[in-house]
Amino acid sequence: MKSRPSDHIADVFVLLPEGRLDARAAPELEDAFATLEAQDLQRVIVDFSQSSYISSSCLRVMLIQIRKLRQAGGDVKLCCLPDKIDKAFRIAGLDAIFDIFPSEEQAVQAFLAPPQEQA
Amino acid sequence: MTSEFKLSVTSNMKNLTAISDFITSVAKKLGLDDDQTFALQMAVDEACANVIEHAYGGQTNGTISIHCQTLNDDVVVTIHDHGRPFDPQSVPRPDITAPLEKRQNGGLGLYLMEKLMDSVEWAFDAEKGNTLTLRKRREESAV
Repeated sequence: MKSRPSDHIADVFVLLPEGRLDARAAPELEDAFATLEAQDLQRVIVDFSQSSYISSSCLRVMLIQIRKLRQAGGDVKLCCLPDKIDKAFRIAGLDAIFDIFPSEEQAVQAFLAPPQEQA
Repeated sequence: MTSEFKLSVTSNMKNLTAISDFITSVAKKLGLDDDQTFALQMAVDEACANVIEHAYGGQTNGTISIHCQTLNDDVVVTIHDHGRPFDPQSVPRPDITAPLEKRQNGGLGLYLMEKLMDSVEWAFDAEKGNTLTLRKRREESAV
């Protein structure tokens, strides 16, 4: 899975999952977070612009990772969700947990903003 | 008029894409709208991933048979396998309004299937195998 530092802040990393994020893709998503964790990177943006679908297996990975990162003082923010992925987050009630932004730049800005109350 | 469509694949996670393509094609032929197509795709994907992971325990040589038909105003999808049966009531469904610290990680797949479909029924038979029946009314959008 592709990942890169954000264009704006070096220690905010962007994950770019591609294609169908079904049960088969869940281990790869988990590995991508583990790689960032090994580098002590705790501020993560997941850019879904190249993804077409997300299943409960990958939603579960996202839930586990945001819990872990918030406990460590970091966070996972989401951007560029196609309609089907946005819908999956909403139906699963995860839109109340994740901060979701239309663009990577806005997600980065949210990391710079003073902390708000979080779900 | 009743329309029927069938697909049979082995219990390999790789086949989830073929299953999704099959459901997309069926939905198109039945004239389902985007919301109904999404609901059917996701419910069937979750169901088949469960069969592969839990009923067949990750073994890739099992068979999953999917049968779609229209009955009156319903689209009815049956998914048949010969893996291990399970008690759907034994899996607690998550409280999706719970805050992060209280959200349970598991049970989301079953929750989504039940949320997206108008009915979800399991039947387990030692000889015939397991049959999951998903029903979705055509005139109504769930999401």
